[in-house]
Amino acid sequence: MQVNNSVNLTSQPVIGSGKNLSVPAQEQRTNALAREVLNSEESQSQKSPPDITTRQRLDIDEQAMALIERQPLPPYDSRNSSQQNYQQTSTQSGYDTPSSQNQLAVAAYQSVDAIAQRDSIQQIFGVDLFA
Amino acid sequence: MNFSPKYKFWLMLFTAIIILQLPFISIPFKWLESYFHEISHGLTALLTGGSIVQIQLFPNGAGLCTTRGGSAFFISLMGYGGAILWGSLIFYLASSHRKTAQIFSLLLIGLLASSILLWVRDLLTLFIVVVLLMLVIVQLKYSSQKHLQTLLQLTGLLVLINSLMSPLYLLDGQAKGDGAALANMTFIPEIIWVVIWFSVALFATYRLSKLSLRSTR
Repeated sequence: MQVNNSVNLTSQPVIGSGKNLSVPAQEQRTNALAREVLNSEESQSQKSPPDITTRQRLDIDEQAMALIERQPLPPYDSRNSSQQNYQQTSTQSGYDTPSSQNQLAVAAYQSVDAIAQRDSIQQIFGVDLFA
Repeated sequence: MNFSPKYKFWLMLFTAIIILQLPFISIPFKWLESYFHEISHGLTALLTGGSIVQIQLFPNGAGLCTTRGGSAFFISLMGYGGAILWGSLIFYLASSHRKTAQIFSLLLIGLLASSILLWVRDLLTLFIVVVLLMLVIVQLKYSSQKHLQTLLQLTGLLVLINSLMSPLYLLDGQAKGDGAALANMTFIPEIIWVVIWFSVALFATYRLSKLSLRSTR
């Protein structure tokens, strides 16, 4: 079962997916730039806010992916996980702090990984883990 | 300094809350609550026919109890529930009689020593449990019987306040931990379990305040 192998393979899909995602992201950014050039030739005032928003969102997503690749999985603890998240967030400077949506995505990713690890340990050794 | 016995409980509660806000002093008391949380999982496993494989404690106050067999429902329930019971029991026995406080301290030393021998399998946990053991031994050895009672009462309140606040960390939007495990087993939402633990801890604090008032009369 794929879930059982997740302990060893967790970092590989993330790195792979990060690389795969970067290509369409670059394409979209090039398109957005081209559109911007065209728009600036026609009129400066026709710059639409949604384009800026899209670029910002793409940039933040790349940061979130980099964050996922960089961060090792901490020991799981449900009681202090909120405290740990807060401490991690508070140590980062304000300008590169991911949005709450991206933080939630990272947390969801990590929780899936921890659950998979937990399940595999429980299946292999026939024990129960209580945090 | 002599405070009115009527206000002694509230003064101790206030002191316990202040101690838990202090950066380094609060750490051993967080470990103590974490130890009682994990040992309650373990003891419930033993009582329901299972066994304890390992107990792990981490410096940030986290913990993990690995068990085999037993009732998963009661083992999950008694993590936070057990910590509340331990806190209340320490305060209650310390309040009842000086001799009882002394005997209870010895039992606590026995439990910590047994944990080291039977269920601790890593150096970090060994260090944390040894610190807790030293804390209880120092309390017993270097304080007069009267002060031992007050120190144990304060320790009980510290464990109780920690176990009052700990379930609230489960409300982080991630379906993990004892609350989520109980929700999976019973289909009762995690928040209900958190509310139950919080209410029980609040009720225990209220009952201890009444008991403290009665014992001073």
